[in-house]
Amino acid sequence: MTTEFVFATAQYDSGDWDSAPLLPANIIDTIARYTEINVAPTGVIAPLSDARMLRYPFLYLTGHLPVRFSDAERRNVRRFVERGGLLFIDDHNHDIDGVFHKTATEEIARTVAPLTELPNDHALYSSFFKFDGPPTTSHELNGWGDNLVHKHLLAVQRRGRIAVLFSSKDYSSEWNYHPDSKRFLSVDNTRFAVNLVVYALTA
Amino acid sequence: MSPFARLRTVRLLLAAGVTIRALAWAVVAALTLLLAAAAVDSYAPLALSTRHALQLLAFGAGFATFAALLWRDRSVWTLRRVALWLEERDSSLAYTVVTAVETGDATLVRSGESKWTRTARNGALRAPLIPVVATAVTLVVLLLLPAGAVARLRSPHSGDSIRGSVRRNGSRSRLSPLVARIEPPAYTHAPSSTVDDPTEIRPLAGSVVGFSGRGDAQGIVARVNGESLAASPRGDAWSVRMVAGAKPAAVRFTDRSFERLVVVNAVVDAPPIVTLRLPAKDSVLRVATGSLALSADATDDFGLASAAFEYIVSSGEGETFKFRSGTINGAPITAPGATHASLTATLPLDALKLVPGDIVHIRAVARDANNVSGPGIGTSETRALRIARTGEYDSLAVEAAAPTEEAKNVVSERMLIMLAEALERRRPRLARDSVVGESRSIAADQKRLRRTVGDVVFMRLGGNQSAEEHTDEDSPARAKTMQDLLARADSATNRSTDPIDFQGGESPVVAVNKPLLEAYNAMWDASTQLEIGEPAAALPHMRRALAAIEKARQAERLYLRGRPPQVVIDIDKARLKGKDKGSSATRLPLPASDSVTRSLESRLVRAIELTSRDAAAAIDSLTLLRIDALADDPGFAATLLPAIDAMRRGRGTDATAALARARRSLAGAPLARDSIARWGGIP
Amino acid sequence: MRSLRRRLELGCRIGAFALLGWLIGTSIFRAPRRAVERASDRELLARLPSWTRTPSSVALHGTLDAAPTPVVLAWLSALRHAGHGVTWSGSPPAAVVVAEPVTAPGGGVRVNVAAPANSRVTVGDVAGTIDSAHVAGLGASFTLPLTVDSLIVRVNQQRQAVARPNDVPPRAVLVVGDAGWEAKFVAGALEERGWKVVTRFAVAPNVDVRAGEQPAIDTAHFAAIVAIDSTVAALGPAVQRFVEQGGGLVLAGASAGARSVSPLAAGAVGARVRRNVAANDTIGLGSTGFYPVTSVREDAVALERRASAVAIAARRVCAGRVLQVGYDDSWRWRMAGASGSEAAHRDWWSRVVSSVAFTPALPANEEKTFDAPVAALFGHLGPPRPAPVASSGNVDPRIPLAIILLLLLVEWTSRRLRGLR
Repeated sequence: MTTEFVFATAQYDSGDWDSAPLLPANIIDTIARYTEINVAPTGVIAPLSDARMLRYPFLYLTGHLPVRFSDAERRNVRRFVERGGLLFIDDHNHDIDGVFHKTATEEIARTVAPLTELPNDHALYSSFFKFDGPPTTSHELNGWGDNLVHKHLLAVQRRGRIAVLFSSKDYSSEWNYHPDSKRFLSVDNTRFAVNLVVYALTA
Repeated sequence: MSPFARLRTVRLLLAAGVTIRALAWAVVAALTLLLAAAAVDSYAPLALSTRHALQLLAFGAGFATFAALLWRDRSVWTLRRVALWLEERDSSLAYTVVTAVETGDATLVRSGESKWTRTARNGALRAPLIPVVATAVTLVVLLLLPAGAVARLRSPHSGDSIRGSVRRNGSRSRLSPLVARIEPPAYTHAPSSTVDDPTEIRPLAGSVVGFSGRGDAQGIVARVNGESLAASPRGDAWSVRMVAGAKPAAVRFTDRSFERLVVVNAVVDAPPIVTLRLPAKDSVLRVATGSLALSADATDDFGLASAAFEYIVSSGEGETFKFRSGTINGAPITAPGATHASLTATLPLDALKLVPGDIVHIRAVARDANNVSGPGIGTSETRALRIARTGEYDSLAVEAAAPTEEAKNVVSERMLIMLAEALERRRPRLARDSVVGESRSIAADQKRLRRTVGDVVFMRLGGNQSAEEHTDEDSPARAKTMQDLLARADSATNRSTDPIDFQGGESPVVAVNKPLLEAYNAMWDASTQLEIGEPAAALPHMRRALAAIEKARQAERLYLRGRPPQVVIDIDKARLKGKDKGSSATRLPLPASDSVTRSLESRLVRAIELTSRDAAAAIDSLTLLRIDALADDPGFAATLLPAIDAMRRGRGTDATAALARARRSLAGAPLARDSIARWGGIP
Repeated sequence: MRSLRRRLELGCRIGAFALLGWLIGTSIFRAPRRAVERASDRELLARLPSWTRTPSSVALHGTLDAAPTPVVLAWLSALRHAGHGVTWSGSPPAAVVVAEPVTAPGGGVRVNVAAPANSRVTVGDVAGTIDSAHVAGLGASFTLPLTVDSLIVRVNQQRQAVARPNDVPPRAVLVVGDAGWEAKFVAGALEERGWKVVTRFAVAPNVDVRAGEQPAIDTAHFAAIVAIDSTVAALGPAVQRFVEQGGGLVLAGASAGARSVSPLAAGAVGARVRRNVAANDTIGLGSTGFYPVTSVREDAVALERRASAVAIAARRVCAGRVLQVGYDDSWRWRMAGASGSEAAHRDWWSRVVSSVAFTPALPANEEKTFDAPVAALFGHLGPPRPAPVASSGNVDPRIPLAIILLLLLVEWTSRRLRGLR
């Protein structure tokens, strides 16, 4: 039996990092449903300012408020990326003109490298389920945020691998519900999370 | 005038003559030394330090000559010696003057006084004659020297190595001596500098670098980064100008069969470093009044252009946030090239109109004056100032809240719809009694759900839930009561209370609660149909109720104020229960991270192999290798420099040791064991 | 009857003439001189030209503290064949040097030196000294990442040289396991180090993530298989065939317990050892925990021990090599280790695979990559012998002359005393 995959939520000082508290359990449930990946039954919270965040090579970061890394957080994120980790950031505001997007992209550009569009034929979109690009969420056109359907995700790639993945599609809202509610959905809207995790574990 | 007075006058004249003679000889000595040095320098150029030393030596020689001659002729200050001098020139005095000086009796001098001054004047004029002529001769010889040769000795400075005679010997290299003049970008306000005979220079990126050498420019080419730059003439010298890029580069000069390599290893202008002093840490305020002191320090390597404080105010909660941002300028940076600045400002909290729950993020930002590659921007850490929410300091702990009523109701209504649909599908196969029984069971759930919705609406509109009885007969009345409450609540907000019209313009009160009321009524209709065993007729009402609840949920996204309990997934239960199946995927290989290292290794090996055959080519190879390694492996590049220097100086042992260190740095240390390994390779 | 006196006179006369005749004979017919030339190992090369011009009657003897260089040895051997008596004595260190390529991307050379205990072994190349070791047992071993031209090994004062072996570009490595951090980072580390890696990661039933090409599992395509966990069982008997052909197998974690590979493993898999790691401890390889190798087979070698358990063990299976590595969480070392852990993890895994990787037979190298100078010395000049004693063929002529004069004087004196002339 291999080491468990532990879903880790990044905790940072400047904003509401815990704005999607049900998402980890939902994704854990999704991974168990479709794969045989050895996954821990609960998620953990990994403070970015603590070097122990390096023990979780997949980190999920979200929020609505400005993202401003402290020196310790920036140092750890840089090390995390250089050593092969994957940081998945989702803008809970889904607003490219909003402070989360602007500040988070600035911090990533400063810490790692500027974000660029990820082509929709990237291996991420076929790592488990087949997608033509990032799946649209039911929140993109809900009247809040920028009210745009974002056709691409943004990414920083290192040596051919995604090191930072940035989404303005509000997967945090889309996936933030109790996993028991999945039974009422005709199409499981969390399947893209399987692609994310499988990509992180195999790429 | 008494004889003694006249004697003193003579003494002064003679002293003046002696002094002038000593001075003239001092000048001759100094000039002679300079002349000899200039002659040597014109054939074998002397180093700058040597020329400085010779300058000092010439001055010292002159001073020593002057002092020595004065010392030798110090007796001119004694009257006795002056008297003797006069006696030597006029025998008619018959030693009367000397006797008079020795006895102090002026009367002994009887004649000839009138000639003394003239004699002394003649003597004083004759004394410096020879040294003055010698000085003139020396000056003439100096003038005859090649142009520039004297200047190099008279005022030696960096960059003068190309001054001096231009040899017309066509076989000599025009690449030596070489001078590099570095002009930093204007924004740095830094002075220009000159480097004589450079092998490596470190200008700031964006600097204009001019290389100059002696001789005409015809046929001299410089190659850098694949581009060729032809030399241009500058008087009797040649010159090549380039702009230093951000990356290290090798400039290869070619003059016929001669070559020369100069490394241009540019220094990149770093962005400013900003430290936020105040506020010192994140904090929470109960009341947002007064003003907040802000303080920050900014430093830069070449000069700051501007610095300010930036703030972002985030208001809201859950998923509804509003943001405002602004800038507060500290003291402006007026001094050009200022490398340090302290900013102070105050942030008026009253002006920001902060409310409980707002968060203010503050940081300091500085920009440098770099107009070559764009201004470098430095930012400080961010401090967060939060305004406490109402009740935040209450002693009542906020327990983890359950999902909101809307969320629960959506789930429940969906469940009821599914159950009703399932019953409707099975209906042809079931007995009527069974259908009615199951339908009533669904009806009972529907009623409970309806009551819950009603309670939510009632509470929101300020009604007293407990005052109402929960009976079916009361339900329409209850709805009417809720309608009244809604109207009153809405009128309090001065908005339209028309319950029919949901088309835009509705107040938040109406927008949220009207759909819930509609859901309540729809559920009532659905229950009625389910009670009589007609699930098919109930379904449209149930779907209408669901849509209304969705609409209410969308209108106000309520989020939890507390942390929900951690959900633990039963992995075994969930394992492979998904309906969809994934498909196999292709994994692309990772590129080798040390492919650059391999390339550097093979180049290093080739360069080392060259050392025994062609030392100059090996030095050039190592220099080029070092330039390429500066970007990819600066540690290895640093180990190459001592090896290159040692090889240039011809110190073989030092070069061997330095190359060994370079190898270790690049390829890693070898592994040595004091026994033969039982299994190769394992650490 | 002659008197005794007359006999004495006659005898002196005869003796004098006989000695005179012997002197004349030996000056015409010179007896061979038995001379011996000696030199130490340091002087040999300088003396050989003059030795070559000496007559073959001269014995040549070397006193050797170090084996002569091949040039000197060949020269001495030629002199021997030319008729000189060539002998040697002394105790040069019996050292053997073997250089072989490291089967890994980027190459490297492994130099094994068999030498007497307490010898000082120094290895270098044309660019200078690289490293040295003091022999504790039977010899010393060096793994050199970067060498220039030929290799020079000194055992005490004895200098030996071998050619640098050609690099052996390794074949691909197959990494098999469940999709997880260990599989991902092991494959990644090997690829970053330059290995060609073919992956097969199991994600779900009949769903896996694999490299595009999946060639047959044989030594023509693969140098080694790395099994991250028991998923390797899915490869079936192909693994055993591969190892028997000469392929390498790394059984990481608990994979050695899989049925299809357990007969190949160095031992059984024990209960996982977990180190007590405090929250703020730096993660090293040892602190990630491992499955110990228990019941180590007789023909297996324990290579690494931690506490009282065997963490790594190896054994040969037919032409192949199997390494059982108990670590299953080495990725933690890479991600959360101290500065440089990423490179250390990468190098470690490269060495692990390199130690078992299949190496194809190399074409015969014109230049030799081994050197056994003492053996060559024995082969050319035989065993050591004491130096021959020098003797000169002729007696000093002054002695017989003196005897002749004495004899003639005695005869003349006797005759004069008899009154004769």
